[in-house]
Amino acid sequence: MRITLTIVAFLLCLSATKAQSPAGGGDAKMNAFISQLMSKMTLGEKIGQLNLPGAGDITTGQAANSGIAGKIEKGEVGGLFNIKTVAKIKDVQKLAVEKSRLKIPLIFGMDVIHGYETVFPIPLALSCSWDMSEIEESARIAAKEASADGICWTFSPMVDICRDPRWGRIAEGGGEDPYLGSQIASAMVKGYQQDLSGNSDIMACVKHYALYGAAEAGRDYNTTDMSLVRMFNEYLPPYKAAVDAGVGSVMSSFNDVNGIPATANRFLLTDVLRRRWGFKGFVVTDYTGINEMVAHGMGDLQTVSALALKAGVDMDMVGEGFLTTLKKSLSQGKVTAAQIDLACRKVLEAKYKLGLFANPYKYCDESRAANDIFTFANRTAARRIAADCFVLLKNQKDVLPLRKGGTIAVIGPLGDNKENMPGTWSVAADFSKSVSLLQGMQDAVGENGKIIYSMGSNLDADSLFEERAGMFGKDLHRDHRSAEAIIRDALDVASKADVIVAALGESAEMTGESSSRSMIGIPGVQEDLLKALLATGKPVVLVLFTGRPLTIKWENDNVPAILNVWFGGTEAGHAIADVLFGDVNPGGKLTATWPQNVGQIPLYYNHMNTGRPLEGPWFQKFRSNYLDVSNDPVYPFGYGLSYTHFTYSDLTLSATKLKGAQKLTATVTVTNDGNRPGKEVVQLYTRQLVGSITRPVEELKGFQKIDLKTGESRKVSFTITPEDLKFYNNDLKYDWEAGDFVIMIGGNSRDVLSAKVNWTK
Amino acid sequence: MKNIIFAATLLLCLSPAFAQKKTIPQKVDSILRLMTLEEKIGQMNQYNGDWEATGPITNSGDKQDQIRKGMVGSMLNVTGVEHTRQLQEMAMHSRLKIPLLFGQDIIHGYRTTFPIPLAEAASWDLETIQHSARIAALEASAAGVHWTFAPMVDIARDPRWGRVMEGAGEDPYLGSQIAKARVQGFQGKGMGDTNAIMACAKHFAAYGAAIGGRDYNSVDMSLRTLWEIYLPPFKAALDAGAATFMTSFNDLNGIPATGNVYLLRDVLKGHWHFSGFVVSDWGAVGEMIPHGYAKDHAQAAQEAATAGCDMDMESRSYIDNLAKLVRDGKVSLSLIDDAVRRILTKKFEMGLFEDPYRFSNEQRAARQWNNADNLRAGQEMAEKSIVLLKNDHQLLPLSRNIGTIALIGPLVRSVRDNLGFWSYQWPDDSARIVTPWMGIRNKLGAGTRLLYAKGCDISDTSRAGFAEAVETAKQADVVIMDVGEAADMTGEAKSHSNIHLPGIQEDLIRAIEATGKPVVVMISAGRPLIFNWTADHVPAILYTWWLGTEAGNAMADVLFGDYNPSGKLPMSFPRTEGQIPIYYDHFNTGRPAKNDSDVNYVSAYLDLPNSPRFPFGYGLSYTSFSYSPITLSASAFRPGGSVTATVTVTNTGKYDGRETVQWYIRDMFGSVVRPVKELKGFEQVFIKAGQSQKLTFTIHADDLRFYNEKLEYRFEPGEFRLFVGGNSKDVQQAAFTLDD
Repeated sequence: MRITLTIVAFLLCLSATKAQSPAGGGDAKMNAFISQLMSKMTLGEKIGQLNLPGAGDITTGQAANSGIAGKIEKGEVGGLFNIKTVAKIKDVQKLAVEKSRLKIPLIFGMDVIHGYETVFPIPLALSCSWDMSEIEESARIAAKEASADGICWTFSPMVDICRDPRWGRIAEGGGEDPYLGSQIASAMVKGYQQDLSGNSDIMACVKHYALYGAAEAGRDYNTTDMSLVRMFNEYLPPYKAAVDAGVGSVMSSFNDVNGIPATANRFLLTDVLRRRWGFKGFVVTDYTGINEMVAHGMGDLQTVSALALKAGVDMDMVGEGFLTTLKKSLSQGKVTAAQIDLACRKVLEAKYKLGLFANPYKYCDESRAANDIFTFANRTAARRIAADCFVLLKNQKDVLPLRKGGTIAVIGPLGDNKENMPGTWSVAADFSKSVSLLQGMQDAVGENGKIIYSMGSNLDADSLFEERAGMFGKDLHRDHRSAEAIIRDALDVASKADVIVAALGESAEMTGESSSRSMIGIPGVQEDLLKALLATGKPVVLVLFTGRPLTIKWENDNVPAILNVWFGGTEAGHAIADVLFGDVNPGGKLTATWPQNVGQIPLYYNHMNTGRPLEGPWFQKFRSNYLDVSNDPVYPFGYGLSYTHFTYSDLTLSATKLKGAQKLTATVTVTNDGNRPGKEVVQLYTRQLVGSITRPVEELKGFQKIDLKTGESRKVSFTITPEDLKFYNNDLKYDWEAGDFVIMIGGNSRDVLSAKVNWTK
Repeated sequence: MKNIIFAATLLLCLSPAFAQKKTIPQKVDSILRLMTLEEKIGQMNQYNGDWEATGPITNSGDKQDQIRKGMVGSMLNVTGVEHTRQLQEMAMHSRLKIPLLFGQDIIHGYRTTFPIPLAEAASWDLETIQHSARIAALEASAAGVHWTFAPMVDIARDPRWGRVMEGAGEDPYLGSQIAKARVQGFQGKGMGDTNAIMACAKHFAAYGAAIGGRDYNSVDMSLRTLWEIYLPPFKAALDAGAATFMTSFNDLNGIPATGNVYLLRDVLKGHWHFSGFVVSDWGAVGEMIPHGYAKDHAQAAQEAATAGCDMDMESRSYIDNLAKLVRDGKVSLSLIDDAVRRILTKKFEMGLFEDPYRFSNEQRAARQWNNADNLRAGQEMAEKSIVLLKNDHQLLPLSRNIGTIALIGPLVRSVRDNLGFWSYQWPDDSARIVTPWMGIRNKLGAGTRLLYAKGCDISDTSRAGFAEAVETAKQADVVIMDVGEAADMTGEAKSHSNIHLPGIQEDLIRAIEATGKPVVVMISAGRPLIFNWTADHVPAILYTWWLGTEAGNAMADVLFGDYNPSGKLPMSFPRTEGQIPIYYDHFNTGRPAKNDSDVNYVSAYLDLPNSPRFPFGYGLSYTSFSYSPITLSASAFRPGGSVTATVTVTNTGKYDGRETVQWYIRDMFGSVVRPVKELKGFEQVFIKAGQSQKLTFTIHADDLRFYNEKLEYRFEPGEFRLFVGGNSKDVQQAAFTLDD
């Protein structure tokens, strides 16, 4: 028994070492330092390290007079968030290292979600680039800018798998697929953290642990419920990938998971995260996540604070449940000193790893902001990356790209709107500096043509809805005239144009936190506008702004060209123009399925086959389908067009019978048979035909983004090993099973070439 | 002593069982010893009689020959004295003369069609529901049927799913009560009685949680939710003595229910000690192949038999493979013996070994044919199933002295739609089914002129009939509309992604409402539909589901006040499909919205309120009821004790009426999060206008049990809230404590 324990402990250490590569001289040195420090700490000071209040109203030069100053001096604060600029942060850090007894530096966090002042496309858009180096680069630049403003910790990446576009926070994640989501999680963590040694390396915080994206009915903060096999196979992989990439912190999610709020969920926070995965960093709650467990029905503040600590939470964001109740709980025996010590140690370790003990002002270099933030280079990168995120959904008769000449009418409530370009969660953005579509197109065309504009419609007919959809200064410039009058103006403008670019869709704040929609179409007034524009008979390009998959079956059936541009960030207008005029050939691929209507939700490509699958055309009696709509999405996972065309041929396998650890090579020929160079994301899917549990009809297992010249053919190969066939079985054991597998390769999850192999143990 | 011996001897002579001095288990064993392996597997094989199919039909081939060889244990879809006798005679030619069981989908009536089960559930009237099942059993058993594939007890929170019409709605407590009532109704005095048919609790388990509301789709949930929400009605059916269970089509957490060891072997036959037998749903054993759980029929048979599915409905996986699997040692003979023992036991209990033809009785069949009592019962059930959703300005009930009434809508004169899905068609249907038109016509004297216009068809896209309908409405003093779904729009394989009132029917309502005439809308449907415009603008709305043979008479009774409506919704009615799933017993979440206009950083949508259009338990009456505050006998109690709550309900309106008083409890804090409300009891009272009635509800610690994180069924001391009201939203409340 004892030997077993030793082995387990040894294994845990090994996996931990593998998972983490802390800076600052190795674990032993750090441990000694922290032990020594903790030996001097009072209980109150330890609990203080677990406290993360919001920065509130701290203004430059006034930190000492702020409400929070007294607490910092008393050692009751471990970190602050939502505070920026070196001047302010330095001020506050000074209080901690000069006025508090043990001079423990604070950690400064912020929601740096998709860029800092240079805003990149929203994360869902970024995921559509399928370009891990660009995604990592966007995180790197965000880290560089944020750290230049004094920030050393970001509440990102958000890696929640989401199959429900009603949920507003789908905008913040990498879509519906666990494999792709894991790649992105890893890239983001690396981009932010590097090895945490430099003063532009900031600590990442993977969130929201766990399953937040499965909120019931897509309603934010709602309950989640699922089996453990689904949890492990479909929702947990991206969090694990972030841990494997060395993420320094994890944020617990708001939702309850199978009846226990994530923030009090010992199974998730300790059994899985720390024991199974070997996570060595610290766990912070989401905003008032502990307090909200009172509403969840888990007990009063003291009870829920104790539950959170015991479950494995180390830091309490905003609610001060730890600060105000842990002492009492300790004295009543509801928590142990060891539990408090452990949490305190985790927080101190993070500060150590960030190098804050060595230099509390590591991130307070006043000279950096001017040189590192919102630079031309950063904006150039944002423009390039944004263009790679756009997804060409339809392009009938090659309406796109447009010619840089003649008269182009930009019409729609999002056509000349800077404020909404950055998208949700762009807290450090200066909206006045972002580029609207109109401006981007004018810059592109210059003197060669004429870009004319009319708003055409409000975002939504309902002004109250529009208020909710235009928060945080993302004004929508409401026109208070009648919808008819607004459209009439637009038709006047359109009549002068050769081609119409309709800039429609959602506003930035129609997705994001607390922005769930039950119906996810383009708002009615905009649809009316679109119909009026189509009725002119002029070519119409729909430039669609959105933070989620929308139900646009009608648009797909009736509009000749649709370019989905999400929210492209600071350089959105330029990037869209780059694509509209063909300077960049779009290559983005969707990472979430676009349903025909909300009644199909949840709709996702990697579903099970069921016992009565629809095989062949819809409708079939006594098969799993609806009477009123087919099972197909409007656009499947992995879908996206190009101005050129790619043909897939000759799927060949190195073997069709394999054994044990052999490797399978699957090769396909991809040909660019269109008339311009382009990028293509070649996607590999597998299917296990029979399993000890039912297995998805398709699972993404690899992808390669390739550039092909006009007329060029290339063989693209994937290597598949039994490691790629593993899944969590009914006993939650991660293993592969012998049997028949289908290997599929294509440009999206629907249109694939396939071949079968048999793999024995 | 002597007398006693004498009496015992007499009893022995009277009872053949005692005469042979053998108990049923002994008899079963003695037959089992005579059986070859093939004959045993034959008992586990069920074929369709090709009367009506609900799935891909397997090639019928030589079914009759197989019956004669003892290779078939049961037939489904064979009814009628003549047919059942014919087939049973074939079985009597088999070597061991083991009688066949005849199973049939008797879901809501046989000759007399009762309201669809979801409608019956809306009555909350357990006695009447039980009676409905009893009459179905009387009629079906007289036609040779031994066994019904009912009750369907799947909890469903998703109205997209077509099979919501077959169940009792969204609540596990109400669902459990109804499951029990239906089992008792079907099984009557118990197996052996010639008018008792075996019940079959289905679909085990969690079929109602099909993803996306798409029929046959995968199901995934935590075990806690499975135990807390989805399993209770099955347990209630079992406790009520359900003779059989049916496995469901779906996979549950990666394992098809039909091959699910946890569900069948561990829970049902293990933990719950179920002694009846388990039949698969149609073809479900073989469907484990497309599920990707079995590579072929042999493996499917192995998985299903091992898990505990005793009878294979129509997939032929057992008959073609089980014998070899046993010989190859892949399935143990003891599992086969256990399955066959369960099946034979039921055949003995039914008395079929004594008289295989005892259910095929011409005289009984004739007595149950067009039986007036049965029809009256059907009408009573139908009246109680109707839910009054809205009645502004007391538009209803209508006076019988109205000069002219216009009846408008595609369902006014529709005949078979009244029966709903899972009903039997008879040649004389058009003569005997009472349409809304006929029901109203029958009710009114010659003094009232009745006009009719269809307006449009159910799924129409053409407004061509609107003008005529509007003109008709203009001539009337009152308009009654009947709109809704066709009978084949909800049921098995009848999922809808869009559950708005079909076609352009809501536009027709708009057009009629615009005439300014008083409009009553009846909505006939198998599921909760969405009809927001109607709910906002039309003064009176009756939800009439599909009410069965006597539909029109029941509607007329309610419209004209001969029955004061008392139905209450057993499912939440959503405002849009985007709210689904929506149900009253949800968790509070960490950021609950305070009200319908609270949207920022609370769990809400940007575009519509969280509340349903009509909540669970909701339904109006022509009178009104007020509830006094709750008084509690004590504010705290300990396990072993109890607290009694009292409420006074007053009929404050002008009509005598029936109210369903609903008691809900909330556990304020738990070791796992607890629903904001859970139905824990209800009572139906008839209160005369102006009168009051005191009702009490006693709470014991056992009522406060739930499944904790370890799936232990426990209560936890702490604070609770008790609610009482006429629906789940409008309630009185009181706090109490369960002390340590």
